[in-house]
Amino acid sequence: MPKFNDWDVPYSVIQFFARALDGHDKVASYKRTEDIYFTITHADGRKLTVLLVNEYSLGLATVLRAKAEFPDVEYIVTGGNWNGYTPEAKDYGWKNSIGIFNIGEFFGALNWTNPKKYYQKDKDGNPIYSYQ
Amino acid sequence: MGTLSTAISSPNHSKVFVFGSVLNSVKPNDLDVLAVYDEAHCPPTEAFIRHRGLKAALSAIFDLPVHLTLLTESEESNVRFIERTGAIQLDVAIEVLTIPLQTTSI
Repeated sequence: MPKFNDWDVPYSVIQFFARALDGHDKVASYKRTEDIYFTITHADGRKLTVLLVNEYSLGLATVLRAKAEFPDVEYIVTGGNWNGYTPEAKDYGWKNSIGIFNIGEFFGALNWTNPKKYYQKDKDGNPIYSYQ
Repeated sequence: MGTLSTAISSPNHSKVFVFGSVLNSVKPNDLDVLAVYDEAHCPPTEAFIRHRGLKAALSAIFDLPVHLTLLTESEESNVRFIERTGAIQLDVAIEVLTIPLQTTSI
């Protein structure tokens, strides 16, 4: 396993994500490869492949780079609840079956039957997306 | 300083900005850079490759790790990244930044 990655993801972000996985009751186990690529075994037995990035605003270029370098990626998660993604990146994800989330959303998504369709809701039940 | 901004050539049809701690600190840990590109001239699939040289040049000149955010013009317009972060254009930033620049690296 490489010690570093060329995606500018600091070890502190990787550690935070790994600790949150350790404490999530829908995560049975996980394996980390290539520093920032996680294969998570869900409590229901499914495997989820997740690329952890560290983007203030996760854009289309990053999603396409992720897909090129990690063809099996199912989720791209940007570290930190203060980070987000562009509407274009989210839309690309919907159309190509890739879940695009920030870290807080992703851990909420793990509680859904179909995590890729997860969204947060406002008090009226309308979707809220972390567009940044 | 004009020589520096000329030396840091960004890819055609890209506008380069800096934001974050480098604007407020004399000893920042990294250099946050935003490149806004025209997807009619730079497909998003090629954006990282086309901006790799810019990232390396900025890292050498500022002697800092560069954290590069790439957005299409449309994405930037939708999320108003420049407005929200107070990002300023690189050539303006070079004139006002207080951190030392590695002029021998260009």
